Amino acid sequence: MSQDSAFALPFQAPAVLDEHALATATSQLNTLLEELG
Amino acid sequence: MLGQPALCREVMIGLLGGGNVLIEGQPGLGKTLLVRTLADALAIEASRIQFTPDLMPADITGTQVLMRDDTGKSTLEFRKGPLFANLVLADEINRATPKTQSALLEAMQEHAITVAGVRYQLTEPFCVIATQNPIETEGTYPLPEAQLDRFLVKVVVGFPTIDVLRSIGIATTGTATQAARRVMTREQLIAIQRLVRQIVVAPHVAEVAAKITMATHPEAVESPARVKKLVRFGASPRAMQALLLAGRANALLAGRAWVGAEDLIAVAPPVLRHRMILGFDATLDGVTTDALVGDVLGTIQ
Repeated sequence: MSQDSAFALPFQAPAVLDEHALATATSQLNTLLEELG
Repeated sequence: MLGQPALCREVMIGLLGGGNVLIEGQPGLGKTLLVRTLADALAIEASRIQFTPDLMPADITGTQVLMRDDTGKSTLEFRKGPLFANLVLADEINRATPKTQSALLEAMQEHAITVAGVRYQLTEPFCVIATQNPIETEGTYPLPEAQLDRFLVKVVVGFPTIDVLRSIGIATTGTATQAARRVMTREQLIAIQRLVRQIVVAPHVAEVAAKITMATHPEAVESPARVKKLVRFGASPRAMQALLLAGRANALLAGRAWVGAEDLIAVAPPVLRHRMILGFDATLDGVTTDALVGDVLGTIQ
């Protein structure tokens, strides 16, 4: 990975974002935040 | 971690964005505990490096040692250093010499280490959480701007309130030990990091990020008066990329599939505070970078 590509952003959004994956990820992250205090 | 919700959230944003985190705060505020707890909860490998003036690059990257087998034949073997972990706590990073600090750069930016001409890829996820003490500056080597720019976010840890201090005292001096519950696997974390990059950024939101970055430059027409007067150098283009990445992570934490201007405003202080170089007048006037970031955000609201 080059220095510049490390932050390269996909400005074209995917046509369909997996809503189930999004909800699961958000739930897991909030649990993690609770775990951290 | 008692009484530090902002610290936890901003460190999480750095980790989710696949970046590195710089924490500024006094010793004893629980920075090592945070890294250990994160590693336990995420089932990833953590290591801790105490930076000192005599720490050499090979002490952190690893080095080649001469090994002799049963037949008496000698071979050079690479012994991995503490950078070969998923979560690396670089404690008091500004106590090491620039030579050792720069040895971190390749690992931080490219997630790889080159030793004796051989490139070793680090295991994903990889995140450096570096700390520095804002008070004891004697005998330290301040991080150069180019290296500061490599940190996705800089988190400032304030001193806890008296109530929190009392709770910390009670919770940590008894016999009870608290271990973090495992929340997700390493693979799930990597999948979430990929998901962060799929969060939608509309063109007008990207324009807001560009305007925020531009307004940190004293020579820009749209920058606020105090920025024109007190800032020597504004944030780099990497700051705008960091704003969008951190904004995406912030949106994911809120359960949204798209980034709003409110995400950029929320992440702007930790993203920009180490990327604006202030002049001497700012010190004289007692104006902090956070106050100037507030002025910058005022221009887009």
